[in-house]
Amino acid sequence: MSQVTLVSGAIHAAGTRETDAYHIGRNARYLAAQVDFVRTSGGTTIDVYIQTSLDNGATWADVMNFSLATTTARKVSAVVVTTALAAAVTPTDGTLTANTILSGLIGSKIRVKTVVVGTYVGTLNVSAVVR
Amino acid sequence: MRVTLLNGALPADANVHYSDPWPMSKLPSAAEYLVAQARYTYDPASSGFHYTLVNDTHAASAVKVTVVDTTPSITAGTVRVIGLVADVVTVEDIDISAGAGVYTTVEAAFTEIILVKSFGLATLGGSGDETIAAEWDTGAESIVDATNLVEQTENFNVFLQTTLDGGATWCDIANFHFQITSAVKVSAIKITTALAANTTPTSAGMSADAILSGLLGDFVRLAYVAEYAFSGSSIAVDVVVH
Repeated sequence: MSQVTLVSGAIHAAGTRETDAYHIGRNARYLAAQVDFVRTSGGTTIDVYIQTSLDNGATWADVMNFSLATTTARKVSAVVVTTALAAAVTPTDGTLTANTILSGLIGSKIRVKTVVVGTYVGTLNVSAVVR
Repeated sequence: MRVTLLNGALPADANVHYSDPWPMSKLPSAAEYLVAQARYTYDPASSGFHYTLVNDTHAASAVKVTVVDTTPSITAGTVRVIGLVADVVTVEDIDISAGAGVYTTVEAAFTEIILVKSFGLATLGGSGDETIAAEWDTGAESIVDATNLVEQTENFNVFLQTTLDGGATWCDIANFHFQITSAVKVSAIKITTALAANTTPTSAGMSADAILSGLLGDFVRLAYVAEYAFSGSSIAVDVVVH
């Protein structure tokens, strides 16, 4: 897998949703993601979590957070396997600190979790490149 | 693998132009490192931003440049005079860092003036009263009527871009900034560089000669924009990907 569109279209209603899992293979060394957020009106906050799984989707770990509010924005982040991951890290699932990454952790699958607060009119596109 | 993204004359307008996207995803192995080289050849005789000429031909003569700086403020600057001497294009740069004064070209046999421009001006605008004029040294016929002295450095920016969404949007990952000197510049991007979390990418807006390492999508392309008409100047950009 190389480029994939993970989320595309109108912002969903308030609440938490996860996308389908995408298998990224055993040789992935790099994951870059872009969030393209266009707000027309409404809403309070959106947290976009890029997550990976080490157990074939049984559990998920956040590796990126994009924290959005009421300003249209485009943001990018990247994680790599060459970063030394701290020992015995406790992974988070939907609670990674706003606008941070956890580099050094790439499993065999990725997905996106979005937590929307408020009712937005707008679009949210999340795409990623894996290599 | 090496590819030439751009090779040719600079655009004749000030719009942003783009090269065709180049698909790194078609490489036999995943690209982890990209190095780009930009080779810029500046043609001082035909590049665009300069003062209006009124009498550009004359019997062989030096050129006299008069700088007025009533409230002294000029601490650096160059006036470039380009003309024909025995039908050969000749460039002479005059240092005006001393400010107000009358400067005469060393070359005494210009028969035609192609261009007079000023650049590299510093501490300009002490009172907004700086002017420039040029005339033929013999005969005192005007070449440039007295006019405001202005900065005429020309900027040419090349942005190397990548995309994470198949080309819907583009992110600058390197900028090559050129002005009025021919130059070769190289920059490299690698995926193992730590990219700051939640980076806001630019598109044709990155700072001069900056890079954003750690971000490499499936395609790369160039966006390039010339601030003024640069006819005669040229650019070539090659990338090598490992």
